[in-house]
Amino acid sequence: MAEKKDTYIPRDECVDLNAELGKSLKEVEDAILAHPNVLSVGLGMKKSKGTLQRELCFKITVDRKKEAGELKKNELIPPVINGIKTDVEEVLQTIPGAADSKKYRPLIGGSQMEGSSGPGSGTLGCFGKRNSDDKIVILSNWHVLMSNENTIDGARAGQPSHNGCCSCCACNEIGEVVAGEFMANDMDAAIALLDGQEADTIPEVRYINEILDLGFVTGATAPLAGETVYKRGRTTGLTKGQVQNSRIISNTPYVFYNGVAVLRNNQCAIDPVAPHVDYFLKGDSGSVSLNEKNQVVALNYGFDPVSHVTVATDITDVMTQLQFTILDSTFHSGATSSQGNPAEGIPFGGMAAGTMAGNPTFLEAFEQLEAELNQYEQGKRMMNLFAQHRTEMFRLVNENREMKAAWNRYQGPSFLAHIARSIRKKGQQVPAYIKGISMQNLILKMTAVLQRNGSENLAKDVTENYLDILNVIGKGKTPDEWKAALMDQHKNTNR
Amino acid sequence: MKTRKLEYFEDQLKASALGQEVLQVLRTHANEAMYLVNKNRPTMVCWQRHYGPHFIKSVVDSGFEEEVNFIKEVKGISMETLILNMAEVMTDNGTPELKRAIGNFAPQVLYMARNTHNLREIMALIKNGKPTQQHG
Repeated sequence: MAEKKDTYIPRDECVDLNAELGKSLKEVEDAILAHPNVLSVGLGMKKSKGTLQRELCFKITVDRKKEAGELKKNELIPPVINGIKTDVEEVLQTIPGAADSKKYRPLIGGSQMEGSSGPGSGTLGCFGKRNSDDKIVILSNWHVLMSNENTIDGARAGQPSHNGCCSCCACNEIGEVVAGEFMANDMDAAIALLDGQEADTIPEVRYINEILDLGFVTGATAPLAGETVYKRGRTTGLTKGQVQNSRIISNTPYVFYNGVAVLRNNQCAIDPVAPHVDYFLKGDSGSVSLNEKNQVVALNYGFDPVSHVTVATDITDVMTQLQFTILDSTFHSGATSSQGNPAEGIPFGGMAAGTMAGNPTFLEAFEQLEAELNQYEQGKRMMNLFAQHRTEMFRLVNENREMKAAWNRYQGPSFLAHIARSIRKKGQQVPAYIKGISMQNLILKMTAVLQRNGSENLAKDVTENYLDILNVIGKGKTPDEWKAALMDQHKNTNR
Repeated sequence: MKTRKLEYFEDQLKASALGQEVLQVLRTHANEAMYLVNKNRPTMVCWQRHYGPHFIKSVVDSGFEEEVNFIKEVKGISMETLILNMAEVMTDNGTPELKRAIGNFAPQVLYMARNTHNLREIMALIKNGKPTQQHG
């Protein structure tokens, strides 16, 4: 694999870039699709000599790349259109994705699942609500749950596995497949209705709208070219990637369906980000990709073992086609419901939405705070550092014993829940002490633990910044007061 | 050369309001801190492994001797690391009152360890009542 460059683009920048390039996309599409060899035009990241660049361009998918000499003059793709570079790629040849086989109760996204007659193990993507009756469904791939490519033959789903017996004697059965698309509509997707919802919408099997290692799911949105994404699958666990093309064509042969190959349009191509060599492997099928705001953006289903590119379907297309909506978690203390655990279960706190009457959702409030923080050098730096290290911090909080104990003993989840509430509800103070621990105590403890357990880069960044964080925290009790402290700092620096 | 008695620092601290506050905190928690350093195993280990005795001697020296600065690092361990780790271990093992004092004062002590060079500078900062952590 070519050496990886730092191609990280913050999500806000991705939004701006996609909007800017998107303005001329239709016009470019109309012009370029007239070329006989061209199959699709989309936005994506420029690739130069096999290496991704930190630059968005028009991505043009062709059946087969040809030498300039083989093409007529009017068939050549210009290297630059409207001042924006172009990049030509061939149709991606991918194979569907086949080792965390633990049983999880309550059910959780990112864990292993199987169909009663499916070809093998895959991953439970996430949870949604069926539009017609609000009943809870599980999302995964068709090829994880179904034994054939054509019909939903009464297939049922199990976690971590299904022994194939009928429902009355099957072990670990959790639901029945109710809808799916495979050969048509450009997706490999299926949803299963969670068991025990005959009378109402509270399923018998408890579940939590969270993805292992990633935290709470906060709804869904379309993927953006260039944005950083994360997925948790049964085989490769938590990995990080970057959307390198949001509208590629992929051809996927399925060996277990007698080698039937399915060509799909408008797919999303995801490149792994170092240190991950693969974003997705066999067994990760059915997993979902989340953006930096913990929103689901794509349903992963295949990969190219040579280029290590993962292919996934835009989640908004999947939801429209299968008529369901991905759940958007609430974030307030004691948020127990059929959806599972209270806020204490939140590891770092997914950026979940709140639904308290009269108040903005947490996500809206967080976005506003983020936008305001980004106005100051110091705030921007802190947000970027968080984005840069969040995967490692999530992993440490979830997997590292010392880190997990420190975070919980020093009231990390409680402080985080209070901060979330305070962001959502203006003026609400974060308590100075929770069970005798102050936020300063928590930050000092986490600094020491991260210095011992984090990677060299994380430890370095923590060491360089913890005093600034302590300084800001010490200046007030609400996010508005912290923001004011950052503003003062900004003014003093620029004076 | 000044008489090497700790009362010298006590007198300096008494001269300002902030100094008196610092003195009060030291008096309240000194016994518990000494107990932890001498009797509590995790605290003892942390103090010795991070070269606490070397650093404390150097800090005291820098208060008595003109043009002497305290050492910022011993065998790859910085003074800031010592203070941070001692704050951690004493919070883990101390009383709720000590925990609270550490949360309130450790950030400022760490800031001074990073940004000053001798005890005389620290005393001057306290005497002038200047905030030890500043913006920018």
